[in-house]
Amino acid sequence: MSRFPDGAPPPSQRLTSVDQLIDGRLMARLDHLDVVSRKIFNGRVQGERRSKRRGQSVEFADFRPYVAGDDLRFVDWNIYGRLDRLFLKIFLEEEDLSMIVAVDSSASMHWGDPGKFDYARRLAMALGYIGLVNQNRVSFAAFGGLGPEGQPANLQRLSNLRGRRRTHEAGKWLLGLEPGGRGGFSEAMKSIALSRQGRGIMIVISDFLHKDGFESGLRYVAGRGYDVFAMQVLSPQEIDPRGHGMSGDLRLVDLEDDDEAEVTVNAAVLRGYKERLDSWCGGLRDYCIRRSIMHMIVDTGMDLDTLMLEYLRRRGLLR
Amino acid sequence: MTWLTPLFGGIVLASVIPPLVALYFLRLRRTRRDIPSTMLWKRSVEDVRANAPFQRLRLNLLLLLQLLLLILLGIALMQPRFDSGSLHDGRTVILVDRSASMNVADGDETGRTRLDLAKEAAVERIESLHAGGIFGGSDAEIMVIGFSDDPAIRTPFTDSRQEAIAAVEGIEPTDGRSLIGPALDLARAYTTIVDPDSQSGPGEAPAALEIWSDGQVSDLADQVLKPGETLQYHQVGDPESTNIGIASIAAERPYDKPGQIQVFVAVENPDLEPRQIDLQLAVDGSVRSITPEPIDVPGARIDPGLGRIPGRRQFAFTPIEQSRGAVIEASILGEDGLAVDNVAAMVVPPARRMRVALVGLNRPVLRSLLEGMPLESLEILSASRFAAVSEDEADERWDLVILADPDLQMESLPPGRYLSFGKAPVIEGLQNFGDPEAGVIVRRTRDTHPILRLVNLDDLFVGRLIKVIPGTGVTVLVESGEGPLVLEVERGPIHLIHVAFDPLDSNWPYLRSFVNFTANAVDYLGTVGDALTSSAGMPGRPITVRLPVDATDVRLVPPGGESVDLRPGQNGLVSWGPVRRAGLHEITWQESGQEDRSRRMIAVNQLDREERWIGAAESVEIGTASVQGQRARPGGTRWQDLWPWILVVVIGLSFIEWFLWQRQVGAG
Repeated sequence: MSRFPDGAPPPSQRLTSVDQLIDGRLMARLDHLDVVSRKIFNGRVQGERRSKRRGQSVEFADFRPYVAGDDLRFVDWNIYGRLDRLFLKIFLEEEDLSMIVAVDSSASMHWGDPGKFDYARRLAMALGYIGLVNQNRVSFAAFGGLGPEGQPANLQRLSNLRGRRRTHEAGKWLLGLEPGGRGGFSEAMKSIALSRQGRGIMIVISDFLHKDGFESGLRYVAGRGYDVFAMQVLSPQEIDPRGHGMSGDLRLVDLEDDDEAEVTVNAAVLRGYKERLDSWCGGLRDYCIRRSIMHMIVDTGMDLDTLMLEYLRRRGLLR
Repeated sequence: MTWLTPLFGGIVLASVIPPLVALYFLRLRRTRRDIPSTMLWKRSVEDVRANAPFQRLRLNLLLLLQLLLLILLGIALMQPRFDSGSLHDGRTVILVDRSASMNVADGDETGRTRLDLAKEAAVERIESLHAGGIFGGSDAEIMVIGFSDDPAIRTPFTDSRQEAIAAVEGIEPTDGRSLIGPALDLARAYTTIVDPDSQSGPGEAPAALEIWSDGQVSDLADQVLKPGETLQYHQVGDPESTNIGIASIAAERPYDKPGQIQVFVAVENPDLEPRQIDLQLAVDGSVRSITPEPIDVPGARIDPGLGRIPGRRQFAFTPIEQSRGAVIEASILGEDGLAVDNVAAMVVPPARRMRVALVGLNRPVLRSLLEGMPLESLEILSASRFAAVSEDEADERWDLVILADPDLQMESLPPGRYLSFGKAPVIEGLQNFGDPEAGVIVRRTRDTHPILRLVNLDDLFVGRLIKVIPGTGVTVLVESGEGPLVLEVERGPIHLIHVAFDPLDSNWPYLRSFVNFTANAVDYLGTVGDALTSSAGMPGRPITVRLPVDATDVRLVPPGGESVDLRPGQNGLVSWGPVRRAGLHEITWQESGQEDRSRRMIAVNQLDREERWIGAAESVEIGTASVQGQRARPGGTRWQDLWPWILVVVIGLSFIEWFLWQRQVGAG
């Protein structure tokens, strides 16, 4: 049941099928894309991606002297013929990419037109699909809210999907998510970071409007060597409230903690809000830069095709 | 500052402000709006508050403005006013002097007259006495009287402030004398309370008398305050104002040159300093003569017994040729405090000899005297024949009738000029009484009267005086220890000099004074009493003239005024008045058989000595009490209502509130 009274932007129509998350036309377009990692990570199984670990691939990396026990198949016989010494050819081993897509499912995401939560799920689905198509090891996580003892509540995971055929499974999982809960971003990031054995790409999709801040949470994931992408999802009503009917004497109620703010929306207040929003987003961007995190603002008013095929490619997440 | 209706305004405020506050909170029942996070909004609101001065005020600026508007409206309903006039709930009589001296323009720097200032100050006083306001009332009752020589109640006691103010503002200036006695009589008539159930007779409600005047009220010292009455004197005018004026004007045709006119003018200076003036003589509006060199008029002198006696200077113009009738106007050149007494006019009849009738066949002494005078005609009539003459005939046939027949029996005198001897004719103001008195000698004479010029009555011995009681308006010219000897009576068209004894009952025919007296009387009555000049008068008195019986469409035009239609009586008499302003009054009428309208001029002069003294008195004497004057504030503020200004502020604040509200709404 919607919590929005009259005058508030309604959430988008509820998603009920995987097709609503990602349709065939978009999937066809995304087939040609791949997720770009700015780092090279060790993987668990051989994949389609370079790894720091030397191994069996077609891409030559280095030579080293032969020692007893080495596989003779990798001896460079041409060098032996010229130098009469045995050297072993070392190749970069191709590994699969670990990719985690973490979706904020807190109550604050259930707002906007188009709704931020639905948009985040569609975005996660599209990114996950790209990962699956490219044989990456894709994991999904949803977070939002704290338990009574401070543990992350509503933290749900779907781990280690690989291959196109897991697309439907991922979609069903995303469809099963329900928004709700408050805060818990830092705890959720900590839990995700600690539970992950390998390294890889982490894409955090959230509005990052956390009253307890975003710094500690991002520090957990950035500090563990993830190539982190922070995708800040904001609705058009948040970006430009004046242009979307926010006016008059209002009692604003926080969706997460029911905190109230009585505001007479006038030009000065709107100007102040805009400044605070810019400052908040700027602070997040600066923090991300310092932590080598790629920060992107995603307007839910933007078409998902455009986002995936143009914006994210331009920002270097996809190629 | 005072508040006229503080309770009313307080009640309105108490009943309106709480609902406004309640409505304000109801109006600010904010719309609930769920948002992802209040974090940014709270901070932005805090930023706005931190960056705006008086942020808490600004939070409820509209409420504050509306509260301010209501408070101002409440204050306006309380009717605040400037000034601190004492309120008086009793009866107050406002007496405003409208005499000639109140026309002096020394009220203030703007050139307003004393009367203007007095009226304004009286209105202020009424407003202070009558603190009724719009939403309240007062128990004050105010009567307004304008007084000169003819008092007029502008409004009887009223509790209506507007009516009293309108009454004051309707007071018009006059050139009359300043007499307050009749005004007080009128006021006291209204303060008398007649209670038919009371056994003690009519009672009087004491009233506060407040006079706005320059203090030059001739009969004020003759008045006495009644028990309970109070007098407040509001002094209007400058005590240092100076003036000089014409005290009298006379003209006569020289005995031997009836085609000429000689004008005599007396000028009086009521101030202590001597003055120099120039006099001008105009005939029918054309200047005929100006004094060749300035005339020195001595200053007034202070007599220990008589008080201030003005300096006087008489001047005789050189005789001018004027055989026709004319309007003679003498004027003092230059300006001084009071203009109306700088001009005096008189109407002089055409040069012609007199027609005299002597009633009394057996009067050889008088007859011989008259036959020696240059008369046009002299008719000798018996008493019975004169009694048969009609009223119109008497006035038109003779310029003077001498009544010397003791057997004359008439019910009333027809209009005309008369010199009578012996028994008093039937006329109001003269009544014989008692037995004749023998051995009467003269005690006192009025030497300044023209009829007593060169008349020495010291040797007169009357063997049989017919005693007479002089009534109102009768002037005693010669008085004995037993009663009046010579009297003058003016009753409309009748002008009479009466000698209360038969000359044959005295030694007078043997004295030279009898000849001079008779000649003076004939000259005085026959000339001054001419039909054209008899209408010359003074302000405060009515104009009464006799017109031809067939005169119709009679109109009178006062100086500077609009034409007034008059209706003549059966005997051709028309009256109008009392005359308010000095100057030439013109009466025109239509006679049957004549195309042009007939015309007659009547000169009215302000020659009163009291009015000539224009220095405002700083205190006045009433009875034995001396009342110090309070200076009427020149250009003083009236009771100034503040509520119109408050309403202006309210309107301005309303615009500001509307602007702010629009701005807030527009911001959304």
